[in-house]
Amino acid sequence: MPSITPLRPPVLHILLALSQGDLHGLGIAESVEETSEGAMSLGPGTLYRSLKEMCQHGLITEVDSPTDADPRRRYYRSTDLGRACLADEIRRLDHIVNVARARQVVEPTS
Amino acid sequence: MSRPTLADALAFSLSGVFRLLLLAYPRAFRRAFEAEMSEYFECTLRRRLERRGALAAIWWTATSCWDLLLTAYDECSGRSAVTPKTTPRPVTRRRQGDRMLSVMTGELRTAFRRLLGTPMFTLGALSIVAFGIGVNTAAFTLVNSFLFKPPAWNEPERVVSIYQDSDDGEPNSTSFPAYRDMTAFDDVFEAVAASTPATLRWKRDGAEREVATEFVSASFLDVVGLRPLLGPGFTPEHDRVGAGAFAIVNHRFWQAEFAGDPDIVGRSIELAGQPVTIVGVGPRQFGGNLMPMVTDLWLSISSVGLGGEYRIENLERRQDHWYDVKARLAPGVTPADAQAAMTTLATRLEREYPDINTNRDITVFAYGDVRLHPDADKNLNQASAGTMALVGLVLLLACTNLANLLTVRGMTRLPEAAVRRALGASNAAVARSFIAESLLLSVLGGLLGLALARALMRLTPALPLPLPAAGALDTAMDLRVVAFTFGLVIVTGVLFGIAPALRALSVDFAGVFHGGSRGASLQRIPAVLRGGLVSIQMAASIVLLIACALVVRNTTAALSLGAGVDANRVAWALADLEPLGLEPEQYAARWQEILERIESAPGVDAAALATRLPANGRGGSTTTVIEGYEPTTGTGAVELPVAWVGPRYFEVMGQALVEGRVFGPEDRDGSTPVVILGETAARRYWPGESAIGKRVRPQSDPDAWHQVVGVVADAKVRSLAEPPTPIMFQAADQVEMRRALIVARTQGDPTQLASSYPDEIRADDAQIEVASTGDLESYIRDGLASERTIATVLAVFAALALLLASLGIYSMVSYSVARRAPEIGIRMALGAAKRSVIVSVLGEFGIALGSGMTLGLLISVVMAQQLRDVLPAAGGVDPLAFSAGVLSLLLVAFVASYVPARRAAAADPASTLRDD
Repeated sequence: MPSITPLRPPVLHILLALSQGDLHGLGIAESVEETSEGAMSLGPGTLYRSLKEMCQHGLITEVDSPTDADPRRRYYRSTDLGRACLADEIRRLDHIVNVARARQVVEPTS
Repeated sequence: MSRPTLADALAFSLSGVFRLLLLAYPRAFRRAFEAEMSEYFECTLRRRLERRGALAAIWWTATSCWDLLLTAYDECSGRSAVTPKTTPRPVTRRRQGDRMLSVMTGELRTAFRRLLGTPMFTLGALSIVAFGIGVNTAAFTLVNSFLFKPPAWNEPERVVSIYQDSDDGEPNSTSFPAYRDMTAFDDVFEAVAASTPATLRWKRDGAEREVATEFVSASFLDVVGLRPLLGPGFTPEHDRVGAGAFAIVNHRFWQAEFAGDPDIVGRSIELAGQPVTIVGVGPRQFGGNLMPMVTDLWLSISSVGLGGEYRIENLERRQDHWYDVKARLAPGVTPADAQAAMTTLATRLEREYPDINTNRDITVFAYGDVRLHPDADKNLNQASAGTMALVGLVLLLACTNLANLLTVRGMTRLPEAAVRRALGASNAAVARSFIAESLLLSVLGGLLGLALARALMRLTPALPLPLPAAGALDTAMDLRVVAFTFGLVIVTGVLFGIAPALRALSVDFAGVFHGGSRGASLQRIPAVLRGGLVSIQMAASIVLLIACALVVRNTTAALSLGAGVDANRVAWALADLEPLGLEPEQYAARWQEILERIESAPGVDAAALATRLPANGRGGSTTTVIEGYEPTTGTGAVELPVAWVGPRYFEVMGQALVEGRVFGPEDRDGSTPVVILGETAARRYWPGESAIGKRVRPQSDPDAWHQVVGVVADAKVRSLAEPPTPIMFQAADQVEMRRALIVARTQGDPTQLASSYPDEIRADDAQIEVASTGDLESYIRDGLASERTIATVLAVFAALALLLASLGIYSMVSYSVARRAPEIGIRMALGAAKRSVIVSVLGEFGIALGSGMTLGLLISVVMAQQLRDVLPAAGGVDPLAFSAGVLSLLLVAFVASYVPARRAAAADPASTLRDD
């Protein structure tokens, strides 16, 4: 399996948003903005270019839209590869966070 | 009635910018994602606009556009968005941001030096941007202050405007007694306020000037929901005539005239010759009800006598509609509830005062449904739309021109870009140098433009604009306006800086070196783009030129139609006998003495009293019931302009008597009241029969019938450009005149007579005040001052358009000639005539010029038909105006293209070919 970690922040956030289920572009953007509490805001260009290439790399795949949805909107779903990459990345970040905690780089948040 | 809000306009233009930028992506990408990207952008834009305001929306647009440009660049160059960056970052001690910054400042510095190296290009581009932004910002600021700027009230959505109908049945204004009735609805309204404007003379340290005031009920600040900054303000006691005269000073006026004196409350000032006590300073943000004008002073209802004794009387008169009423709705009450309450009031008033209130509705306007006044709003929207259209055209011209210049310049810089790339510069570095240059131009030009806009706004108060009241115009520049125009120009600059940059990246640079000037050094600008830019400029210029020509034609045509009076050799003066303190019955005799003295002067043929002059908006009207005439709308009466004039008035004015007689010595106090009508009035009210012997009366007095004794030829009543308007003359000797105009016809110079007036009039009594004098001809001409201002402004626009168009055409033809220099050289060497070379160069742009002009003419024809009502004297598609516009543009276009074409033909073919 080709590893593409470290994931770029937009890719990471998109995969994270899709971990909860299928979403269309606008839905992903909203989810990202919400989970990051406004800190991460994807520009339209970055979002759709990332989506296009993530499809090409097999990280995500286009799925049929739900029956009641606007037919113009494309829905996306994480592939196994995508989920694996996300897991790899999270483990990597987790490791870094643990090291940082151990070295007391930041005040522990409680 | 709903108007697109500023938010809509902003959202619309911002998404336009975004959609335009989408063109930077390759076609395949656009086809796949364009729709969704626009949807995402617009959804977020709307949400930011609603929740966080205009600045957040602009910020979102800026970041999105930046993101879009970066990703478009990546997409074009095939850089991945997913795989990690493999090239190691250069190891520097600085942070990434600092590095970017230093690269960009370096880039800007080089761009600056490059611009200094080509001063003509730089000057041209800068002035285009500066004019585009300057004119546009100034005009939009003006329109903004008229149409969009929200009033500085507390909870403005709870404020409603209430109008009684005019005699014509349109919501208009309210009588003071009706206002008092409205205040009784305290379950519907938390507060109700009445106001009426007045221009008063303010005397300070011996100097006098006019100030803009409003007489307001004590509740006026409760309605807008604000408190005075200083002092107690008005109390209900101040609504009672006889309580004294009290004023609240506008915050701005307090700062400007009293240097923000904290002890101002309790001081006394002299207005209209009376002492007025200051009881407060208004809230900082509140400018009064005369938007967009600023009120200097608010005066209590107890002070209305300052504006004249009649203002005290009309506080009790239900037939006098002098007041504007605004109310604050009680909590939970909707405008519809208020309307229902006011309808019951209207019904009650109709029952109680059938003479004057039959069919007179009361209408409640919710906040946002009325801006200045229901009647004025129509004109306002029209005028503003017109202004914005014109300004948009100029902006379009400026942007296409900037695009023109940048494209041409970009093409000439291609060899340089090729050298840089050959020497190993990255794509990004080359593109950056292009973008830095256009960015620098846009920003510098934009700053110049803002300075220009400020200067223009300073100038506005000095212009005789058709404004609703005297006073200062509120023209603080709006941040959003600045952001909008600035953004637009920067986007144009960047966009047309990017186009050549992308081209520079795709060009085969080996070709640039090998091909010499015959090859790629002057890359082809696509013919469609070249032609398109030229035609847009032609079309926009012709519309501006014709609009200007139409307005000028309207003004000159109105002047040549004349006022219907023989204004030549007539002089006038405004005199006031009030200071003499005469008994009521003494006035007529005193006026007679003055008139006789004037008539005895050498050269003077006749003199007469009057209360208004022809072709001027100043002058009263009476709601009149006409015997045997039933108006189709309203309350059964017509609002008829009225003038009180002396016996020899028509002789002075040279107005012919059509029928009956003029006033004579028999028409005096106590004799049968008589009137004389203008021809239009007589024909309209009694078509096909004689008006003599018919009767009219003021609506308010059922017994005061006046008999028509004469009909005179029409003269213009309110303005030179008006359609025939009815007017009624009453005998000056039948009423008590304290203040009047004296008009006299002389065989000599009327200005001389005017200057001798004060001495003649005051010969017996120096206490008589002579406020102003002049000759009638220039007075009538001055009535067209606002039309002339508009014509001047348009002429400036049109000149600007011509200049921009010629610059655009010139640069395009020069470019084309430079590109074709070798070909022209060969043709000349083979013996082609100069003329045929010129013709072939001109021919290249013939189609573009022709199609642009045709398009412009079509738009102009539609525009002229739309303007038929506004410019009646020009009469729609005016051949003279059209041919003037077309000819001047053709001339300029010809010169702008002939000069470079001729230069090419005059070049020595040998040297052209040697250069290659």
